[in-house]
Amino acid sequence: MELSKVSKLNGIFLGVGALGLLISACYMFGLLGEQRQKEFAYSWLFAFFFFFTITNGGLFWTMLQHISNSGWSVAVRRFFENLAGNIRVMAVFALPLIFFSPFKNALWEWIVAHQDAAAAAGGDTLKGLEEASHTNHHLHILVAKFGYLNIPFWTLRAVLYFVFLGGMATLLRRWSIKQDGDGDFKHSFRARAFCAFPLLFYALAVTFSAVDWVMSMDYTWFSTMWGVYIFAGGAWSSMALSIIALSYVRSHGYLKKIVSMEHYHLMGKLLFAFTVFWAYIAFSQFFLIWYANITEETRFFILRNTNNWWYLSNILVWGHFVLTFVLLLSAGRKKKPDSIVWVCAWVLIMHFADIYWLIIPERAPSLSHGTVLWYDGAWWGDLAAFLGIGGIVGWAYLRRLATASLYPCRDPRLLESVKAVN
Amino acid sequence: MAQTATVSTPSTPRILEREPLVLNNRNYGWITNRICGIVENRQPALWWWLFVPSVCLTVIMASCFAYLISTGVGVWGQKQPVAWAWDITNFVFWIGIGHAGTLISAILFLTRQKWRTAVNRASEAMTLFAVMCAGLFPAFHVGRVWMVWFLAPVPNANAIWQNFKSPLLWDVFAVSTYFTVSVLFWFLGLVPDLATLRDRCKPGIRKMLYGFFALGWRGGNRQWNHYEMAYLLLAALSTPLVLSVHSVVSFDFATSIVPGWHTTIFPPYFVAGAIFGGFAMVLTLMIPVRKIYGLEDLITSKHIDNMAKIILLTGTIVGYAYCMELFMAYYSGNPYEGQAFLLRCLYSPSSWNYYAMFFCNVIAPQVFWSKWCRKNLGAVMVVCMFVNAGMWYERYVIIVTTLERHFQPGSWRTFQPTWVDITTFVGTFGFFLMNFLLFIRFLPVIAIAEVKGVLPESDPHFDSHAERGPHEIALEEAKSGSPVAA
Repeated sequence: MELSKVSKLNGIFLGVGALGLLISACYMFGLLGEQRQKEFAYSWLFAFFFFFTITNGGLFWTMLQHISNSGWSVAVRRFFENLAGNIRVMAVFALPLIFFSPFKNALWEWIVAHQDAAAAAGGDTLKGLEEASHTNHHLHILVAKFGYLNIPFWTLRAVLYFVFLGGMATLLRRWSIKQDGDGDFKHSFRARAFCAFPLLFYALAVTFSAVDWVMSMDYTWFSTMWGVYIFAGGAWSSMALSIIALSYVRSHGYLKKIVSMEHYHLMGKLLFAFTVFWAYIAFSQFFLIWYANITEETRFFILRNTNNWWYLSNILVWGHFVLTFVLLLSAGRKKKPDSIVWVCAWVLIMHFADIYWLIIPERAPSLSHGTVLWYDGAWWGDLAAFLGIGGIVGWAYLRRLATASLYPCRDPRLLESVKAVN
Repeated sequence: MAQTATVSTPSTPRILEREPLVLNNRNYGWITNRICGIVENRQPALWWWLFVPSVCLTVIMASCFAYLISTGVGVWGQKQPVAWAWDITNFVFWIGIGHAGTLISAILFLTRQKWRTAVNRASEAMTLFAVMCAGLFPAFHVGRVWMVWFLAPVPNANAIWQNFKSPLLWDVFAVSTYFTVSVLFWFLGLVPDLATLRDRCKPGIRKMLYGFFALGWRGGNRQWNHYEMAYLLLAALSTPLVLSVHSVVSFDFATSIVPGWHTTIFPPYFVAGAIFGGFAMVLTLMIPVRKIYGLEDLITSKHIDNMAKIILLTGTIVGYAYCMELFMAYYSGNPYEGQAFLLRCLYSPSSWNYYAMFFCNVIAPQVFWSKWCRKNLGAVMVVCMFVNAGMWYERYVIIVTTLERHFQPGSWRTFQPTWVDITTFVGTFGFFLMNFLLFIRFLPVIAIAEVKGVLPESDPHFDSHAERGPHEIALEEAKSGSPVAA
């Protein structure tokens, strides 16, 4: 693809991204006040995590296509490979979360508790926590989970996630592009073999990154379903984004003879499957916690069912699942690029709502120590962070699309894909 | 003989051939004769060697239930606090086995996995028999089995209200819906094949019965059109059932507040485990069947390879769930949860069950990383046996070892099964096998019409000149009397 053909959109992405990052920098370095800086930490985590889950979803689909020796998907695989390639950009955006103290302290109460304990006990965090837990009984939990939840290990894990995810994405894309040149089958075999066992590590990376960054915002809460929930939303929205990207590229005259309505139908069906899968996972998680009604678990949902958050919870039920389900039932709608892209746009909006619902309700109660549910005006920061990260990620994605063939042109399964009928 | 690979020339793009789903270029006639032959010919001696003991075991099972009814549920080993024991373990075990059928027939159909055609009929049949075995246990656990219809929300003499808040009642609905839809799906798929059997029969009672159940099938265009539509709709309807049944079964435990039972990952974890156990049972049955009845060209090593990979995948998902449970027991910092798992894994006298479970379900399937193991039937059978046992252990670990160490240490008790527990359970294997053998005896074990549909010549664009097999070449040579180029 020629970059010049998409330069207008790419320019918009870069412009919006740069402006967003500029405003974000004002928030981040406290130019708008310390309170706004703390609030903005949540905005940044929200925007980061939104794009991080979608990027991970791209890697998942790439790996799945290799491991299942899939034929139909070869024509569209490059879109997922390029999406996964964004993981390196996401690593840069993760830096403030992992290393910038004001952000860390605002987002994760346990980090503050650990720092206070270390200061009180002359550097021995565990000893400090044990002593402090005599007066503050909540800290017993932090003592119990100290082996996992401690700052050095937490930082190390973050590095490992990006090394693994980024390494996988880079290697798979590199081999795929190499095959464009030499047409050697070995790249396909190598990718298939290479995806098998690391899929397990992928599952662990997605799970524990979600535990480390989102679940541990409330260090008392836990749910074994968490990793599956985050994975389901990421895979779902990355499929939607790829359909949109595919349609955009086709509207510029590319891939017209390679990608047919059958591919749209197949991708639409996977989108539909994950609509149901997400709902199944989300419902199971909610339902089991609601039914058992144990104090240490219910807080998560009680907070998100209080005041205005209740409306957002309902939007997820009716928008994330019911409406998308109904829209995607029709085979005709899935086959028509003009109609499916609107459904996909809706999917991305709902993923936005989902990640917002996961992260932002923690902001006011956490920063105000439980006295406030909502900070007026903090959403400006959410918007700035979203546009900043989103603009740059979109810009990088379009540039990456232009650096290699839009489809694996010498993949041994390409003919099978072009002729795919379902 | 395998198909010859496409010759690569500079002008044609290089492609990777898919392995054929039917080997040795078998044609329509061969497939019909081979599968119908199983029903039409005398059964091998081995069939009787298996059938007679399985009938005996079924009789023993029935006797055990009769003994239970006449004496009371106390003949089973459960006493407080272990009020659920082998009965519910066996129920969940058999229900889990019943999952592969719908997965293969519905989900693999919707995802256009053509290899399913060789195994879907037998696994659907297996599903029905497994669900029948499963249903026996809660029905008899009720005590007065003749009152089990009180579970249905219909007017009754005692004006009993069903407890809709209880997951046990949801189980009744989930399992009965699953069974009904599975029967319909299985029967619908059988219709064209029943007509084939009907047409091959001599006039008599068999022809009449096959004809009755074939519902007047003539194989006309309109009939096929309606059939395909009905099959697709039933596949779409049964797909949610694959998820719902075992999710509801998991709710029996996860909705409680018992540490070790109440955990949010239970629904998908149970579903993955059910598919895992179901596929192991499909392989356990189909590997001997293909050998005994000479079906190697239809159920090829590629089919076994695919199923072994699914076992590896689902086994690893189950392993993920085990590890996530352990991690959250630690991470939650909840002392009850932590203790429940310490007891389950370390301190309880029943903790060896946990390791048996972990080994059978997570470690043993890892040998399937090796292609040699997936292609070696002996190795596949051994792993499947481990999985069959492991899935029973899993349910035993979840149900019994948790209840043995309940909240009050004063009431802790280690469960001991009675001879009735053991013989009833062993008896259900006889019941299961008896039904399966009868199925082989009277119905086509492989979906004839569907397997024909995946042959290359069934493709409307199939070019018989371009893709001739040795069979066709030999025919042409015989006609022309001179060698023909392939």
